[in-house]
Amino acid sequence: MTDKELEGRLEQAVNHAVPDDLEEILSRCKTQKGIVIPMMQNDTTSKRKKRWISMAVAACLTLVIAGGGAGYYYQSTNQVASIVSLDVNPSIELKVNKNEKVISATPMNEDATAILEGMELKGVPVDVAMSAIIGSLLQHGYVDELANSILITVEDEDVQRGEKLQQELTAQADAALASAQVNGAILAQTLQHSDQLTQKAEEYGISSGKAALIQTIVDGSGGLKTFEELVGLSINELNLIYSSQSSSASQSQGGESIIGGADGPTDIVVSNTIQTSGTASQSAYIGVEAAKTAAVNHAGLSASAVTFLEVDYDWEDGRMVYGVEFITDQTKYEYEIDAGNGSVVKYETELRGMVNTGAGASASSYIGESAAKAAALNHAGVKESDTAYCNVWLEYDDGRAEHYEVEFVVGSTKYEYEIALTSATVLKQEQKTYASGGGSTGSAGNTSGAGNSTTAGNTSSAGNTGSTTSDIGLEAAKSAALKHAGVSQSDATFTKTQRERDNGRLEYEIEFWVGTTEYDYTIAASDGSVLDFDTDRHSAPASDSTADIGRDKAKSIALNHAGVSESQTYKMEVKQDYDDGRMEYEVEFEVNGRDYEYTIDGSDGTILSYEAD
Amino acid sequence: MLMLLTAQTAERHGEEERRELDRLLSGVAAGEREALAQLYRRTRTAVYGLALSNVKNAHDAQDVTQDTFVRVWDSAQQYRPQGSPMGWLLAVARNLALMKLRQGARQEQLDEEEWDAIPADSPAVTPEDRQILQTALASLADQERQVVMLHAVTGLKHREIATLLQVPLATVLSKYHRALKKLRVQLEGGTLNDR
Repeated sequence: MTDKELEGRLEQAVNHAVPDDLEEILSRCKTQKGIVIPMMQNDTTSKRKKRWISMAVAACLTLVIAGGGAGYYYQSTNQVASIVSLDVNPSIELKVNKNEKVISATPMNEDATAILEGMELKGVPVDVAMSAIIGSLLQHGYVDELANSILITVEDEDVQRGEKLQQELTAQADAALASAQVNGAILAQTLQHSDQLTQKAEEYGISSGKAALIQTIVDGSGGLKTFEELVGLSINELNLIYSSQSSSASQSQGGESIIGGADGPTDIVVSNTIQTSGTASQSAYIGVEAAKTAAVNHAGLSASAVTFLEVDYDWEDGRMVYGVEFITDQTKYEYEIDAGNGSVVKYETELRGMVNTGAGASASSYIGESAAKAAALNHAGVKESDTAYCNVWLEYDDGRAEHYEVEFVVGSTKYEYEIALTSATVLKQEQKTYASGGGSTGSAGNTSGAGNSTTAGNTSSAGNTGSTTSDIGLEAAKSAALKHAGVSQSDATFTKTQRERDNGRLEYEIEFWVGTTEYDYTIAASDGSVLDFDTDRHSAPASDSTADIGRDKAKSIALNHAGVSESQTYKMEVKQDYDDGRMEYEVEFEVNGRDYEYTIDGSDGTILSYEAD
Repeated sequence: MLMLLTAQTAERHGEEERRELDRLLSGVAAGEREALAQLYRRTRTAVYGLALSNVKNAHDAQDVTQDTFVRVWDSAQQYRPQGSPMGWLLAVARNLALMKLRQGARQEQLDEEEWDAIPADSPAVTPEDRQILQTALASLADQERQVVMLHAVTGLKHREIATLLQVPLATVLSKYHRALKKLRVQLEGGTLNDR
């Protein structure tokens, strides 16, 4: 069966299996098209008229769309001047016309439905609507001393108009909070429409405004944070992280500040300026002083004996943490303290100043890998037999041995050591305890779930449960795969090592070859377990095999066949492979968005298969 | 040369399809139920295939498919025609499928062997259909199944699949080839070395 036939069978099977539920779907669609709250008595006529206009525009679209699809834009911008969204955990979207009157109010999640219940906002000036919504948020207990942050986003193609509206609404929200004697914190931003951001927001079921805030934090994190790990956080948590990130970036003075947002290259460019006012609530957490004390106590020191360098907020491994850094004369300490319960999530110590690592000494004076391993295990008070995985290697930098690196995992704690080459001195060590269980968020008093808003100690928003962020690291994942295969690192040639997410689970894809056998592993990043593996014994090339046409020849055969020159291609990849004792080249490239894949006999250049997709 | 001609024709066809889906989504955004019905008829196999490849049983896949079209009805106004309508639709479906999985994760895990993924009462499903679906669900790794299903059923290109699943193109290609290889081995017998 060819690939095409196989795919055809699969398509046919799905086609036969898919039930026809159109009637049921249509019946569910009757009442669910947003909530448009009618204001006027003679509503039915105006609604019908509007529907008629929409249909006429849609009918015209079939003609216009061939010219580039700008018609829809015209239609929507003609009606809607700005889109205002309000996020706490409830997320509400207001469509506003150019007279700043509300056209529609849509709850973007379940919590928001209750907030909008009984309100008639259509035709109401948007600032009045804003006050009413904030009143309802307060009444429902969504803004309190535990979580007091509100995000206001204005999406408008006209930046000046959008910013003006943003200022008005922020002032209005401030006043509403002040009159209720609530110490609120407001994040406000103005955006222009971005398809990518909208799609991302839709994919995660959040507002574009929240997506933009998350993207700004991701962009400012220097690659340390991903969109996915932040998407389940509440606005209060995001505000804490954003404020912490931007204060260390710009040393902004407290109180009101205007902070530039994203820079640096990203997939989604959010040229975003977020205006902040007020301070995000930390009442749900143990507080900065308690976090400092917890860290110093753990190190067996007193606060007076150390110099604190930095304390900030962060989101790590499914929980809010305080990052605490301090030094003594000899050592630098970095701690992450669980913000909910004060436990030590991670700590790292490093010797300061001139330390003799043994670098430059002759290799004969090195203590050896087993002594380095023993030194690390001894320091941690751990027996090798208790480790789930234990690995030691010489770490090189610029071709010169630097130190021994020792890594091991005991239970849900991962240890990393750097040991001096010529003595058993611990140069640096790091210890991290992962939140246990798949998807559990770990911090105390944290009940995730929509609708629950007022419980003390609960600041976490609905559902980040799918994404476990525990990560044993690439080296540990490689070791786990090698161990399972019974292969030593020196015998293996790694062809692929990649960290990726599959259904919300972090995994490592590890591929390596030993001789002519290909090993393909999927390793769980959370605990190093083997999720999937596959070995493929490729026959060695026959010893009397005539010739190898070589990569370049294979490439040019494929290019000739496709009728393109290499300069037109993108992502050119040529791989050697063995199949049925025959050496083959797989040539893949992209031209003008089309993917080409060729399989070429390595001995005579015959095209065995090709595909353009 | 023939291949290039075929590919160009396919591309034109793809472009027409994209415009048609854009048109239908505009109709849905304007509240036209007939547009939703047409969109459903055109794309339900793709949506169901994606759902099935994620949730791995017919019942949940049916739920996700229904929810997807209801969600599309509610939020079609947010779609902008410059993008890929199929990509958007499938991103909505995938999001709902992942939510379904998260809900399911809290319940008891079913043993993969214990349930019959495709119910026996689907009259249109032939024994051959059942065999290939069960094989795809049981013997492929999650991502392999998703990639091969998306390619076979949705008409998305490998590059678009990479965008949808947020993995590199090279990963999609290697998963795709491995998945087809595994399917062939399961259906025809033989070893992984066979082409």
